[in-house]
Amino acid sequence: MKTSLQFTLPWLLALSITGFAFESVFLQKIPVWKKPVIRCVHADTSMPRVNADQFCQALGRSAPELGRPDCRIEGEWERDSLIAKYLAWAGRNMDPRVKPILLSARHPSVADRLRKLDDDYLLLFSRNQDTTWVALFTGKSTEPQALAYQVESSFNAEGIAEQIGQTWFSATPERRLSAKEKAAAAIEPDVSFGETPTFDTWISLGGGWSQATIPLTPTSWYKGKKEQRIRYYRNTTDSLSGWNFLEDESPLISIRTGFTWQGFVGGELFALRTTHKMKIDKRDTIYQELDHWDFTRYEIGLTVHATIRKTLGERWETQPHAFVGFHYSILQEDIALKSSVAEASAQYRNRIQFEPFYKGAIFGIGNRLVWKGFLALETRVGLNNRGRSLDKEEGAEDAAPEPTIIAGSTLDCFISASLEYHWLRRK
Amino acid sequence: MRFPFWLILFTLVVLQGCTQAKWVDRHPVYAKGSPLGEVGMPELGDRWILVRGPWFAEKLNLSASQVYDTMGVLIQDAFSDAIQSAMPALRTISPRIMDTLAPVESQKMDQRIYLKARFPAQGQLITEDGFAIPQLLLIHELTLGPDLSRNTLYDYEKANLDSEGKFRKVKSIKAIVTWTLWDNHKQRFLVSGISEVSTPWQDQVGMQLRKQVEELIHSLAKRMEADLMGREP
Repeated sequence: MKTSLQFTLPWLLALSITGFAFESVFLQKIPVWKKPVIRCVHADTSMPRVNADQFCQALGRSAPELGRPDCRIEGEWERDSLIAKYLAWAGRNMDPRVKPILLSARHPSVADRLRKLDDDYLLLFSRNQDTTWVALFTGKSTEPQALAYQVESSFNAEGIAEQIGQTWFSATPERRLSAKEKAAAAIEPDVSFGETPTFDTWISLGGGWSQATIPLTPTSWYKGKKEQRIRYYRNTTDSLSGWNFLEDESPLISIRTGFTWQGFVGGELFALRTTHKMKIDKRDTIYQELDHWDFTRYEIGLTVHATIRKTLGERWETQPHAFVGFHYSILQEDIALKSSVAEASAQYRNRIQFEPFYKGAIFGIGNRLVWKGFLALETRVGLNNRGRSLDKEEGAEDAAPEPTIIAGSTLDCFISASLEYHWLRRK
Repeated sequence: MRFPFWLILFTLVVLQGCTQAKWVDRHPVYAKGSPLGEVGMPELGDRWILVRGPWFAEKLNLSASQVYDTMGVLIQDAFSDAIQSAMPALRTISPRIMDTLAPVESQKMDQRIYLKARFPAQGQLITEDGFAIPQLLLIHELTLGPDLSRNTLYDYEKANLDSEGKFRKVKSIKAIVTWTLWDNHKQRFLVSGISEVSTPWQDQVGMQLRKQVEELIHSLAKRMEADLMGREP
């Protein structure tokens, strides 16, 4: 019981304070101007009047960035019987459930007056028993842009001014444009506008990193393969993945050429080169004859990609893309004995051989940051696999099991960055 | 049992795509099933439209110049009767008040559905003999004709599909009414709707068009009352 009181009391206190708080019914995006012109009107003549000077001072206190607001009571609007009728109607229809469109002005001449407000703000005050309502009109709309109410036994315009300053006018104010500046801005060319090139071709040179460990995956997946060592030039417990024989981590060099058609689909021809040391077990004395044993991997293939173009100002453009493709992977051996060794051992002569080539698949995502349409920095990440599919084939029970293809399934991931030169054709 | 998850997902996506058109629009202050206050309804007057008059003329053995007069009287009387039986508490008032309303405006029901209507101006209280009735039921227009659809009349995305059936054989007769329940004191709409009913038609001896139209208008009034109260007819 005590604990529940401890929890409920502060809430009750908070409620009793916020009971008089300024409640927002709706708030659309309002532009906030420096030195704003605020025109106040009352829904009906019998309600207490707003003091424009005091209202302005209170608003200036709570939102000092506004500069000096210019507040005035729009007596002319209140004396115009058509507008007065609308204001009274709007005051009667203010409700916590109401939507902006349900308070819009229907009469053409009233709507016209509201549309001509432009950068000025019109605040409509209405009082209904203990509730003070305030609606804000601005811009070229015939609907109120914001509506809020405050429950208080006396009409307190200054209190409302402070609340408005903290909520509706809390954004950083901008300078109002003069009529001349507005006219100029209306015909200013749009920097984001550019024709989509019909054909975009490029060549690229890049570098990166390739490894077997895919980030955010458990290390236990790779532990066995990475700790594996080759004994006597050919023995490992498992030979399915190339990473049982080769060091997986390697710098990557890439050359590519490609095209994008109509700014959204295209293809690319690529060549990748990585270098890998063989993981020999140094405890075997047989390796004393060996000087070095490395493999260079070349991968040549094709990808297709889809991209979208987005301009970032006048000079820059970004093109996120996704690609998928296939390639041929070739491992080129580089092995030599020490010059002092006269004849190679039998194990050396019968060392493991990889397949002449492997077929593989590649996919990934990337982004191209283009400068002035011709120079680009392209970054990409992806997965790259080579080998045959590992589906079990249905066969006769007495059929001999197929021999395992060495490095029949080798997967790695890569990250790379490249510099591109583009040729654009616009039609 | 394993439920195919993708099938459920697909169904949801499809259902999301075909959200129903909104034929009844309510003001947020006027919840579904709110009781009616004292309601007055201006008589239908001339706010009716007969589509394919020559077809009616042929079926009723009337000349082309007579059909609109005859059908006009029929529609007005039938609607007046039908409303009296569907909403007995309703008070009929003179159609003359319609002339004092604001010019024609569009009322948005949905993203694609608009109705054209004349409402009292903001701040204009409608009185009869010095008494302001709290609520008004405004009938904007009543359309009667063979093989109509409210889609082609009020949904602007489907409006261009109307022409295809111009000379088709008549299968049904339809009546469509657009209406608004109006808060006279606060000058705001409470419910607006477009209600439609239809009756099948076959070119047979013994099919009585006049009687069928009367029954159709009676069921239209019932449908309108159900839409207004937010329940199934």
